[in-house]
Amino acid sequence: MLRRIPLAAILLALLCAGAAARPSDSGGGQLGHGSVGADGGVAIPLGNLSDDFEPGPVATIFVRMKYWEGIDFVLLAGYQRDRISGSDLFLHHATGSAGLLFPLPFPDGRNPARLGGGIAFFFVRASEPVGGLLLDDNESDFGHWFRLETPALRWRTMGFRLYAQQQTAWTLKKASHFAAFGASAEAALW
Amino acid sequence: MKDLRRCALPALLSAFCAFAAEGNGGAPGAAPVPDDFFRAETPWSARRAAGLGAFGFASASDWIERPAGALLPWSATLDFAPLGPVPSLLGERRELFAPGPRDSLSGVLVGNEVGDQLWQEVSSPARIENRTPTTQAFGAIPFGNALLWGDLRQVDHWSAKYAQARKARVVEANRWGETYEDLHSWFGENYPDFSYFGGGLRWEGPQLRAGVQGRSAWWWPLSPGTRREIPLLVDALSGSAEFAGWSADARFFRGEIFALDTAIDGENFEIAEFAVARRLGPVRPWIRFRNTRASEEFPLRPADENVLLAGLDHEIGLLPGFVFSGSHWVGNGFWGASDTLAFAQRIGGHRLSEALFLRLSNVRSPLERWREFATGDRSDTLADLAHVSTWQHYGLRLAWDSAPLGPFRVSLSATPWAGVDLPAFRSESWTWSERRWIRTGREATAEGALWGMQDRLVVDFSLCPCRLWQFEALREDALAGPWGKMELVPAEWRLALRHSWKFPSDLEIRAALLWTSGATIRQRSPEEWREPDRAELNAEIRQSFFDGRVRLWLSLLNPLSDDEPLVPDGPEDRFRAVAGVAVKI
Repeated sequence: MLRRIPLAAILLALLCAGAAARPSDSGGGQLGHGSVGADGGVAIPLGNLSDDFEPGPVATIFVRMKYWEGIDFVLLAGYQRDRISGSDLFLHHATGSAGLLFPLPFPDGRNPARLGGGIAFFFVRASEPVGGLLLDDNESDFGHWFRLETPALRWRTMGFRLYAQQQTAWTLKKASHFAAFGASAEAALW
Repeated sequence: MKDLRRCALPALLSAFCAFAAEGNGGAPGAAPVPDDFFRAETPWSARRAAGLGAFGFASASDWIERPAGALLPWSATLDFAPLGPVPSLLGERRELFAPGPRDSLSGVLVGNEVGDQLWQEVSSPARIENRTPTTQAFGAIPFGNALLWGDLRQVDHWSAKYAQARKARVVEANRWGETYEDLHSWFGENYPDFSYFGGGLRWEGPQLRAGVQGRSAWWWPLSPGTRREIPLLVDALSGSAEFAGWSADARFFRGEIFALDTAIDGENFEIAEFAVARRLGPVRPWIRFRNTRASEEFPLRPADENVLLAGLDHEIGLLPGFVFSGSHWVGNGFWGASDTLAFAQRIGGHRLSEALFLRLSNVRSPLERWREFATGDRSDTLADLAHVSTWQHYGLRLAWDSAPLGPFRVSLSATPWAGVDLPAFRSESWTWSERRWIRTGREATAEGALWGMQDRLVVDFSLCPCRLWQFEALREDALAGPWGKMELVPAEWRLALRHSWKFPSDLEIRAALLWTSGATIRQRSPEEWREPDRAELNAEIRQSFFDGRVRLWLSLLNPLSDDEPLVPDGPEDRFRAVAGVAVKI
């Protein structure tokens, strides 16, 4: 049980992040604005995965909506290939995520940088059956993510940002970590 | 129509059920317990997350449970249930054949026993047992007074431990996954505990409430006697109607064994049941008929192929404050009575209540009297649950529910009780087979008076309607009598701290931190099993959009789990997470 306490602490932190959504009376306009977008970048395995997997491209599509008082709600669906070092084999790695992005107090209130996080669901399987591996068929697990975004560069209804993201899957025997860096583009829908 | 099952069950309203419900729900304020969303995983999880009622589990459809308000040391599946909603052999309380959705939501959910290896299988290849998922899709289309619904659910959780043994029974060597029988589920290949799809139509008009439904389930139930796994495909059809004080329901179940064991492959049983009831003011007479037919080699046989029960439920107001309620029934060879005399009084906003109850019967459950055989010739009885002997249960419940005391509300109750000559399973031999304990034996009388005491304290604390803290403590004492023969000795202490917090942004967080001292569980292994003392954390995050028409949620079941079995032959109790999305059409 003790080894799970860091995990429980992360969960509680995520719960408490929700507390930050506590609005003033003037809040509201939930889902009043929404945009869709895509991002692309490079995904880098971290920790003990860095020895066994090579960095590779990652692509994500997302929906971003106004949640409450400058806070955004995002739904993301991502895909990347985790190539096994020194091998033609790779793992299909799909991620579905949901979470909140909070405005940071800089550079200004109208177009702030954003920091947030949420819950992710990972779906992984080997590109072809190796034999004897659980990854020969579908494997899945939950995890969490954090994301930092720069302010948007605006052009008409489009916005362009750079982002850095960290993802952790709650795997055993160790947790599995990835970092990703890239750029995103989005268009306002409503 | 919110609870179709209730309206479909003419006789479920026994006095004790009402009494137990009071015991569970009599706390002041609304307990911030998870409800509909947790049900999505397994019904067991819902009760477990709610707090203090549940004991250990052995699989998604086999758990030892005793509701927090229950007194007798029996698992709920064995409790006094002359007319349980579904035969226990077919998953009574397991919701495989439960009525359709309580709300008209459509959506999907996915869950997992957290801790799969994924990339770690490559990076640190030491194998650990696979973690398996749960999946569900459900749809409901309302039109007028009618609701058309369908659902598909597969719970693979807890299945990894038994997957190899199950595979050996239903898959020929070198014939992996070629037919649906091989897979033994509607999709996937984890040999899940159960996998079903079904649907129904229900109508809820001002005069008439009615529904029909059907489900088909691949399922690995444990036989109630020896606890052998039986690979079944079960088809269930049921219908119910309620009109002008009359109610009726009919059900039909057919189960067929799919196994390579040629002696039992294709063996089957059928249960047909019909009931009708009429409400006449404070009383409600009812009759119920069940016919059970098992094929020649089917390993289980009902002690009574035909059971006809007639009964009378009553709830009568006597003097001001006094209510006399209960149920009496008689059948071919069986009888039972359950009566409660309750008195409640309000003094300055405080509610004081006393309830004196009495239950008598000559069988534990007239519809669940099974005999189990080694072979088809019926001469070699492995387990016999057809015991007939009069048992009694008496008790007195004293309760105080306070008026608001500032931000606090307090509820306190004490219930001394006694059970006389209670039935209990008596094992004769044990075999370790396919990673389970298989037992032989019979139900018998544990002679003498069993004395127990249950005390409960609930304190609510709330400064605003959006936020509630609740502390609950339940203490149970096994005072005297043949406790050593009972299948369960309840945990001495069970404590819960619950919290619910609703934000104006329609974000809702619910969490429960639980602690329980270990219960003692018998008749699941040759030695008695002492459940580990343990703490548990369950949490749920929900987000509603568009006035609740779109809902997202994440349920986290026990991230503090020690990954240890909670019953002797059970798999590990693991951290499980379930995420879902639903929309209202």
